[in-house]
Amino acid sequence: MIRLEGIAKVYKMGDTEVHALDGVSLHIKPHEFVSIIGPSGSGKSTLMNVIGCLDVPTSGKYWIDGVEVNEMSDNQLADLRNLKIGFIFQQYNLLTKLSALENVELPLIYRGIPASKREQMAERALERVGLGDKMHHKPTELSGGQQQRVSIARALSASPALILADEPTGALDSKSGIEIMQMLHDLHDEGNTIVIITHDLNIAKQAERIITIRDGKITSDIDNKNDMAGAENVKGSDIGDDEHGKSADLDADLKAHNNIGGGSK
Amino acid sequence: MMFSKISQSFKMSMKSILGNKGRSALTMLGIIIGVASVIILTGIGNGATATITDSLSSMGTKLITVSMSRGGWGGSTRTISLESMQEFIEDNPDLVNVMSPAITGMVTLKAGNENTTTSLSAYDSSYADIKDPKVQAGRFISEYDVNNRSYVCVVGTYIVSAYFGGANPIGEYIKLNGSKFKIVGVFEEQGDSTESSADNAVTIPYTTAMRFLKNKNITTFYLSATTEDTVDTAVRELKAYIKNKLGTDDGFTVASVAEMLDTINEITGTLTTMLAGIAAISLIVGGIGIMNIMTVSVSERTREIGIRKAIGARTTDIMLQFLVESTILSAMGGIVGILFGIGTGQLVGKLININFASPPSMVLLSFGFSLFIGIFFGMAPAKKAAKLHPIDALRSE
Repeated sequence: MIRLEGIAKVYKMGDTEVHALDGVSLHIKPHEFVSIIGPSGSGKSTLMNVIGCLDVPTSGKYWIDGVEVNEMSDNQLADLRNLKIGFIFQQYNLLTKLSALENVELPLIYRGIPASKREQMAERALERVGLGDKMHHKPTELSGGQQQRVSIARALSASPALILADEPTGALDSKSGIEIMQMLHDLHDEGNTIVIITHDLNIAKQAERIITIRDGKITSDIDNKNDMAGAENVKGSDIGDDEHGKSADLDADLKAHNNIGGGSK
Repeated sequence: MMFSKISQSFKMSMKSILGNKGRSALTMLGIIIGVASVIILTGIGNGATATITDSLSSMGTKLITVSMSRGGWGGSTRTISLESMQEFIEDNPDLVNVMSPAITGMVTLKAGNENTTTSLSAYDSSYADIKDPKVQAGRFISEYDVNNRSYVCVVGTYIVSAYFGGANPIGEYIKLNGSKFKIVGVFEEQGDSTESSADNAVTIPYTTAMRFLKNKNITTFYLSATTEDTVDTAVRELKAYIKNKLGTDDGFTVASVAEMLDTINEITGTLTTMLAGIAAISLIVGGIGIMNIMTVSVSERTREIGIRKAIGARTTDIMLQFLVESTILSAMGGIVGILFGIGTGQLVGKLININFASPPSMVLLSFGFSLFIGIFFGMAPAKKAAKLHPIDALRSE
């Protein structure tokens, strides 16, 4: 499904080089539910951008569904994102001027699906996330949880090979967060491949497989499904997230999350 | 597929344009003013040209005028005899077929106890074949009048209203420079029937005028070419003929209305084009306004561009969206400009008494040009948007 080999991403900040990713190799099989966890600055956002074909690695090889991504043009990458990947962002990233339905239709438009069929597919996706009655609402008329469900519907509408969720519950209250996670579990049960990027151990623990990343390197890769004790092996210290410093770190982490790549130019 | 993308871009663009109504209107203003001024200036230019050419054409496009003047510095007025002119017509029946001498001057008119100065014209009866004399009552000068040097006249409407109180004057008499003339006809109103207008005029037979004004030499002849196509040849032949008779080529002119029309059309055409060109500059300024706003729009919507790219928009999709937006802006500006231009043009035309006539080709051209401006000046911002890297765009606030 997804295979990364020796992926490195180097940013130049003035004279110093920052190794955001330093030789990451990873293999994700179809129907897996994987979480990638790491503290701020660990390179997890860069990894997600690489997996999502939003960013091009400095070196290393990347295959998605057997297709090699490295040598692709911008337009080929756009098509790849459109066909293979459904994004769920922390900040939902919905277009505020469009209704929920129009937002969900967007990837289908870029795929060139005719209007009537497109609308049908988008309606089905919205019904699936329980927003059948809010299709014509603008994002600003919806709660955070509902907005995130619209973005899940958008990711789903095009039946992608991979659903890539970047801190999907990060901006939500705990109740909505639980709902969203339940939805992702349901999607996984239906056979979707899901990758969640998070800094929250409780979220990460819900996945079948937990990959920890630190300083641009994978430090652990634990099978959480077959080895019930697996999750216990992920230490708070691995992700810079011990009990005492939790809330403080969380704030810093959230803040840093948006800036990880930001300082990378 | 392409259509669905364009219609989607169109929908998005309309949302964006309507979402910023004030800004969109201001952006369009440049195009509106540009298109409107092109249409107003060409429409009025054409109207003015049409007014001039109409009044010239009404003199008859086959009309040729021969005028004698002084030859050289301090020379005497050239003369050519009536017989010489008649000979030319007889020798060139395929070029010209009618000729009338013309004598003009001012005379004192007396009817009853009233005295005034009026303008006198004297022609042959054949003048009616060169140009419609527009007689509304009675008749024009006849061949009999000319042959017998009759003291008859056709009068303008001013004379009718000033001396006869508007009553039918035919058969009545007036005195011109003391000689009694019988009124045989009344001209149609030319101006507004006042003393200073073209309606204060009398026309008499030229033979009578020659005797009565003691004028032996005729300095002006009107000729009519057989067809409009022979006008140029006739003018050329006449020039050669008169030059041969006089032994010199100065001191006379041979002019045709057609020639004058050509000259006037050329001058007004150049003027109109020049004015339209100046107006077109404001269209370009309008285009720069569009480029400015589109650049702002791209930076404001960087995040939107990032989202679209993340979910699969290609470079061309993004470019298309912004190009469609700038094109809609300029097209809407173009349409409003055309309506505004035609409306204002007609109003101005009414005020200055010119028939405002904006040619459809100019309307289409200025609309086409405004579309082109939208595409041309939208290109750079659209390219900028399309080139944004998806993660950089997503990261922006």
